[in-house]
Amino acid sequence: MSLGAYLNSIGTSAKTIVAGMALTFRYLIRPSEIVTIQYGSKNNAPKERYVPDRHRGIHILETEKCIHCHICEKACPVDCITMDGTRDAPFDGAWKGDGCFISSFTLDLNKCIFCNLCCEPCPKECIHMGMEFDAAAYTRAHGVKNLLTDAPYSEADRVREAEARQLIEAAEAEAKRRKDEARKAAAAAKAQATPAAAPAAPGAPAAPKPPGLPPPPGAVVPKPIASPTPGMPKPPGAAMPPPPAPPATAGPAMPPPPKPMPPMPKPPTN
Amino acid sequence: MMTPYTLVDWVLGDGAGWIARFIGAVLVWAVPITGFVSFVGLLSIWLERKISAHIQCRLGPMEVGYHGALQTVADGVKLLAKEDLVPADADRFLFAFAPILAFAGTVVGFAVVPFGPGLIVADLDIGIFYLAAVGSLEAIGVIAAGWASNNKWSLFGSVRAATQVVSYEIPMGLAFVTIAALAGTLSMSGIVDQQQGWIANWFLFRNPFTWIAFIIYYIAALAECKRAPFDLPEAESELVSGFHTEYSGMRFAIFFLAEYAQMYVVSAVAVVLFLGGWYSGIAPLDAAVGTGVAGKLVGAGIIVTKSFLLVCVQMWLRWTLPRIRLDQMLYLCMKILMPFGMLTLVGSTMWEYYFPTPEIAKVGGGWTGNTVMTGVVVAIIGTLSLIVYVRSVIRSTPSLRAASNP
Ligand code: SF4
Ligand code: SF4
Repeated sequence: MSLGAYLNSIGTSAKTIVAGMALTFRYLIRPSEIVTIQYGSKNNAPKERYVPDRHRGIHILETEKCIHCHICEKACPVDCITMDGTRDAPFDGAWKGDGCFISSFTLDLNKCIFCNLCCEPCPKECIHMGMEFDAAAYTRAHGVKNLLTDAPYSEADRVREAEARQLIEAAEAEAKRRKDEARKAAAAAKAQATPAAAPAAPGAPAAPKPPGLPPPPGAVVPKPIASPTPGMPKPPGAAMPPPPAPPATAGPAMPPPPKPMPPMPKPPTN
Repeated sequence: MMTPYTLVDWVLGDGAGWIARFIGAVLVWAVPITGFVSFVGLLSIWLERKISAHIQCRLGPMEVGYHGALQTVADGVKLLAKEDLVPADADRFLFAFAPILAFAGTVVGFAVVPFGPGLIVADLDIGIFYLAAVGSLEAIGVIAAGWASNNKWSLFGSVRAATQVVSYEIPMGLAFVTIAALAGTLSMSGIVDQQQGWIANWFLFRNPFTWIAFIIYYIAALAECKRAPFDLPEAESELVSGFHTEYSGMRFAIFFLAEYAQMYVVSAVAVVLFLGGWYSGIAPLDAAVGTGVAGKLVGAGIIVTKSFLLVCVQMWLRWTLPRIRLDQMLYLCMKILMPFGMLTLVGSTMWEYYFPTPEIAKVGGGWTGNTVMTGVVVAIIGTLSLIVYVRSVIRSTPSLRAASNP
């Protein structure tokens, strides 16, 4: 090695060491460069900072857009969504959806695999995977989430939903009675007009309506779904609206002291 | 003959017998020094964690105490409570003895490290020589540890440590000799006394060659502490953990403490030799505090602060530079540091012969040629660092980089 190359190598190393130390010094004195997030600490950063846009966290339901169509419930591969409600008539303590009245919408996070399959087919795009990932709970029961209140499913929810079931049945029976009457009246009117065609009733709209299938009058007709199985996932992150505020509709008027109910872990489904 | 210049003399007076002096030395020095070593260990381990973390865009320990300040204490308790493991085929005696040897080899270095005017355990006439002698004692402990562990990685580590000792000792000795030739004494407090006055009187600024001596000493000191980029004996990525692979619990903690205490010792020695020891570099300030109790306390504060700054630089270097290979280490020490060390020794003595520092500057500190030269050197170094810094900023900022080379 010639003397020039020798001195050159020394110069190069000195220069590179100084350059490297300048770089590390810059990081050393710049706290804004720190990327550590102290999970669970009081200095915790907002979740938006460290959860990616397309994160599939705990679900968020936009109750006022939901049409109670049960499609998400059917799409779920592990059956962790349960819901109850009616489209026929309002009842006490119902959450107001889009043309429907919902008494229960729960999601069992113990079972959920966060697959997004419930969100994709929703015709109203009102159920979303949220940003929240912190699903830890002390008991399994606490792992069930009430999407209407955004709170863990509670005993009070269970009692209220059982009561609501009776209200729903009453409301549906009432609606059915009214509809029958209306139909009879219509048939009678028709018979008066054209007596020959009197027994046309069997072809009329089915009297006992399974809740959920045909839209009630005045409700928005759900878009037909091309394929109920998930097709190509649409980019969920882009369309993600901000998490809705807790339902502003009248909360459940707390029912009178609950009658003893059979311990039902899940609300009945239709 | 110089007046005895130690705290024991100061406390006991001149007439004390040797038994009283011995007991006094134990009480006045051994206990506080051990405490100080532990304090140095705690503080520098915390500093190391924080500095490494911030350099790597992390936070480091945050939970125990204020910004994790007590994390090291918690870790110490954990290490104390751990099982004392000895490998089955290890040399049991040597295995237990090696950490003690390493630790003792470091702590004896504190004997000549001053903490302030008169705050020195033993102001030996041969202070630097003593340091050079015991500085490598730690290496014996390391070699013993590697041998006793009966593990090939440990043995590799200790062989590397031995190689390293041979290579860094010579440049370090040359740097020592350079300063000793300028100061005309080997005693630590004697050397510090000559750097009284303004900052220009520090040996670092005495002549252009002492800069090189300082850099040589600092590189050799890094190697002595087995710190990156010279951490070959422990080389985590190659040798598991090198010589202390088999050590756990308290014995490992003792090795660890020895390493950090060694970092403090070499930094304090650098401060004494080059950076004015316990003098602040501002003549009126030093004159104002005097040499009484206040002077001792202020001096201790100054020298400990300077040393810790150098310790921080060691950490900064560690988290910047990658580890070099053994042959590169030998090349560096034998073919670069050694010739430059000799050049420094010759050049510095010639400079002193042809441009002797005036006596007045030596003691009182005035605006002399030293000051001018210091200004020039500082300006050059500052400009170069600024250029390098600005360049690195430009390179790492995409918009600036695009603008600078279209
Ligand atoms: S994410 Fe998947 S598993 Fe969870 S509720 Fe939706 S469909 Fe069911
Ligand atoms: S699929 Fe959408 S609209 Fe239908 S019930 Fe579920 S959340 Fe409501």
